[in-house]
Amino acid sequence: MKKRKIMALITAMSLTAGLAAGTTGFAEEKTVLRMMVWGSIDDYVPNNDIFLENSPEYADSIELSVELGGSGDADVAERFRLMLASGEELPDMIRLNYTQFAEFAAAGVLYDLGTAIAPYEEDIIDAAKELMTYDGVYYAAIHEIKPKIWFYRSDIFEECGIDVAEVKTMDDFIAAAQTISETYPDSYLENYGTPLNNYDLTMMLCATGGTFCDEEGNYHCAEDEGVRAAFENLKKLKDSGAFSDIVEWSADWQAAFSDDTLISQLLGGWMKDHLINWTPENAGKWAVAPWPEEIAAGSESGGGIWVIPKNAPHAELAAEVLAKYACDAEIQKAIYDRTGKIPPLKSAAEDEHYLNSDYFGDMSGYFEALEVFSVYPYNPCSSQELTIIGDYLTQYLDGALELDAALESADADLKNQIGNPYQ
Amino acid sequence: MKRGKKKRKGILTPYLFLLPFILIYVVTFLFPAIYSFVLSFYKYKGYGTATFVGLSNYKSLLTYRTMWKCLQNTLFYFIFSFVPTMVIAFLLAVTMRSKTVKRFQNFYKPIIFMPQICAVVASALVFKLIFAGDVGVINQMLGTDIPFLTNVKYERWPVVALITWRGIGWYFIIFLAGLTTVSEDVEEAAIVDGAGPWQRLRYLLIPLMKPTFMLTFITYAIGALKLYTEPNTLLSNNEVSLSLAPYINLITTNVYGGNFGMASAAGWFLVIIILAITLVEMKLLGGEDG
Amino acid sequence: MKKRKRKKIKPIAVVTHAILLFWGFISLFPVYIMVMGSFKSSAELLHNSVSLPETWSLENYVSLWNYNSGTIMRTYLNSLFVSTVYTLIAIVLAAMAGYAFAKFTFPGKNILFVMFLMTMMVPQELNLTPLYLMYSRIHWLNTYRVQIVTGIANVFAMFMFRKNMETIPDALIESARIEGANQWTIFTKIVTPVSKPVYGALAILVFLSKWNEYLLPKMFISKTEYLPIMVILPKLSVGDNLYAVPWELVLTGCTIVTIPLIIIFLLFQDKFLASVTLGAVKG
Repeated sequence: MKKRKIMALITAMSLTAGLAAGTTGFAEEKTVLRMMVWGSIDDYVPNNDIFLENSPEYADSIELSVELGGSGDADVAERFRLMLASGEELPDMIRLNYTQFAEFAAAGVLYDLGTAIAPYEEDIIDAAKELMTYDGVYYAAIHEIKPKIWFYRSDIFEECGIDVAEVKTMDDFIAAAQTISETYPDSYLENYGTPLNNYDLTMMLCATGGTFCDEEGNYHCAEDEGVRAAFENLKKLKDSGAFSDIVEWSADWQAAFSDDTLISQLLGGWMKDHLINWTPENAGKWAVAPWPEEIAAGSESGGGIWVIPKNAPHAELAAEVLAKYACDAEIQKAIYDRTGKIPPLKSAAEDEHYLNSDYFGDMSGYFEALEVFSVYPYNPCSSQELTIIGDYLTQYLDGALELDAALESADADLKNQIGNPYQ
Repeated sequence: MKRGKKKRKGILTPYLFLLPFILIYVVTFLFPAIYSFVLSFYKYKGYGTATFVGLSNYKSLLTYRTMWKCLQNTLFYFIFSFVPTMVIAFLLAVTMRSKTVKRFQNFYKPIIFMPQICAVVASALVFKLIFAGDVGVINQMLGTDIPFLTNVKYERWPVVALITWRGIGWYFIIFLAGLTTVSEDVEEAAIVDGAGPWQRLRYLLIPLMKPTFMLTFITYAIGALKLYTEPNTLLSNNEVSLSLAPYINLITTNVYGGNFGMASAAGWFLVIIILAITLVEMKLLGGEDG
Repeated sequence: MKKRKRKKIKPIAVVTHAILLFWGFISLFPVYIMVMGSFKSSAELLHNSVSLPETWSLENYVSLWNYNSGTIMRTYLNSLFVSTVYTLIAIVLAAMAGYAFAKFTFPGKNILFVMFLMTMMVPQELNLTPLYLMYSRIHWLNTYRVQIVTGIANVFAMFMFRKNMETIPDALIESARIEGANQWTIFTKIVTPVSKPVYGALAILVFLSKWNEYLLPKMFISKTEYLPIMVILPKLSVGDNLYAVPWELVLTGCTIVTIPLIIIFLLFQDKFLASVTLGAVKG
């Protein structure tokens, strides 16, 4: 059959072309450092270029190659686990979120960055050092620190006579919402549509000091004061009636910023970029401040980090490169200019360059927030814990379960599905 | 003599035809399946040591209240999308054969098939926009504010709508292909005998299509029980609340949590359920093996 | 006798067309939203999802084109390549296996069949981890091979072929055998032409299912040169945040991906969906 033969020929040719395309080229003289990230490679390549431009000592000897581990941090973590299991060559630098840090650090598969970080150590803010260490050893470098930030519409707040520095408790916050609704009945300071996100819970837990399990890994949500307080706080805010029902990350939520339905948000530092992208017309109207004092402590899931696997082929070199990449003031400033990411450096807090944003005006509120930064104690099973508990939080907030019932069921499920997170 | 020779050769033939298929099957399916089955009796992070825990994963699974909820969600999505999909797809396929429509076939077929040409993820995102609250297409068109995607009572329906919308395109093609096996002669004979269109449908087409139906019902059930993408893309504003999640989320949550043993146990439990439902369907649809 | 004009429109025709058009509208509506959305900016998309764009803008298309220096084009070609090769081979394997089950009896037939049925029952998520470990050992990760070979034993297609080939009259095959044709010739010259509509339909379905595949390539491929477009589409973010969906970009990406498929489908649909009657054997 002629057609068949032609098809077979085409198939064979395509296969050959494909396989040929897949083979790697000649070994190059430069050392290739592999970086595994998620989301979009486009975010990292320009930063890499900035690094190399500012590092003549590395320009001829190294090459940074970026690979996509998946669409989210969980994908990269999963990949990392599998690469460890299969014994294949590990990337030299891996992007993770602080949520996953505990697992790998505890397993002893990360490279000690102490020596590489030493030259920059003084300039790093204390909050960041918390993120970078496990058991006193430096295992991570910071990609982006995520403090809890209160974003608010300064124009509206001024009009209604609200001074954010005076809003110190949750009751104050609710009162402020009510004051503003007298002038702007359709504008809200926050949205508590269920289900809430994991970060809403962790941000509140940081402030109340709650943990799901004790140091030995026994789950005790029902007894823990901090967990109870976190749940109750969220319920109080939701039931006050002063806030919107919009669910975060829904289509409605994004639109709510354009039509002034949402005029403030208690979130993490990353929201900065979204506001700039979503409502460019509101430049100059939004401002930043720390959260109301009562619930200000902590962070939003810590932050984005870089780790180096202990058995990476170029671990030592990668550590040197990473330390400079993440901690060098000049390089970080250039990256800030490109991405708006504020570096966790003491010198940055004093640098005029960072104190003024085109969009947000005075940024000192951001640095104030960093002063109360602390990290939530993630353990190797945190992401799964949050998924399980999140469901019970939703039921409690919706009124389907009483607090005791919700927390007790959560404990039962956590023990059932995870057992002991440290084993 | 000649016959005998052909017979001996003949015995090998089916195996030869099956060989490539079986080889790939063993390597890419059998091996990993056995591996994950064995893994379900261990606690394993994917690296490090694997500790043997016997049936403990399964025990935890069966006593996990949320597991039953997820299973219920999956069954909900399955049953409520099954009937509309099959009925509409079949009716559409049948109308393609009718004289009034035959000429326009090349116009209608691509349109009916269109939902399948759009990627699942793309369709899910569009549906997310369609069913959204203030900015949703439906709410904007009707001037209402129905919380399709925010109220737990309604949330599962957009998923059902998405599955049905896409499913009809797929099964339309399958039924079309199946209907080609019904020879026109037989149908002509029926028309000559005075059978009207409904009678032809009931007494001729449906019985003749029974093997195709059996196959499609079973594959639909299996596909529906493995549902993952649609609810997760449509309902997640970050993560899907476990009260709405399909069963497969139990596997993925455990994998992302580094709990491979439990993930495998969850997976194999699903296989047993699928097997059970398939057997039930085969019994109900009568007789024939597969 | 009055000559009745054959153009008399029967009510049933009107109803039938009405139903078909109604369904056509429902079918196409989300696609319309998708295409229209690709011309809107992010802000507009959110308060005007239904109607035509207030301002038609090609901004999204430009963003995508420039995205990461041609990734879109490369991944698109990857998808095309992988899906095409996969479909060709999978269909052939499935047809051969389906034929074996349809027209032969042999020891182990039922057991094998049940085993194959089991393949469909096991969710892909379950097998991915062990497969990853296996592929990693033989260095097949980050290749085209791994995407093509995995799952190329397409059980569903095989079942469809079996069902269809069972209806082929044995007489047809016998008459060929008597004329001295060997098994392979019978398969290619008799059975295949007669099953053409099934080949066509399955080719489309198999191609699409591979084209839409997301989980597998996401797991096994990390280098963009080998990624199919479906994996990067949902996360065409222009920021580091994993939660944000850039609606307008994703819709644009989907439009780019879908339109060529539609065109190919329209061009080849006759070949694929042609009805062939089994009138070859009389009596």
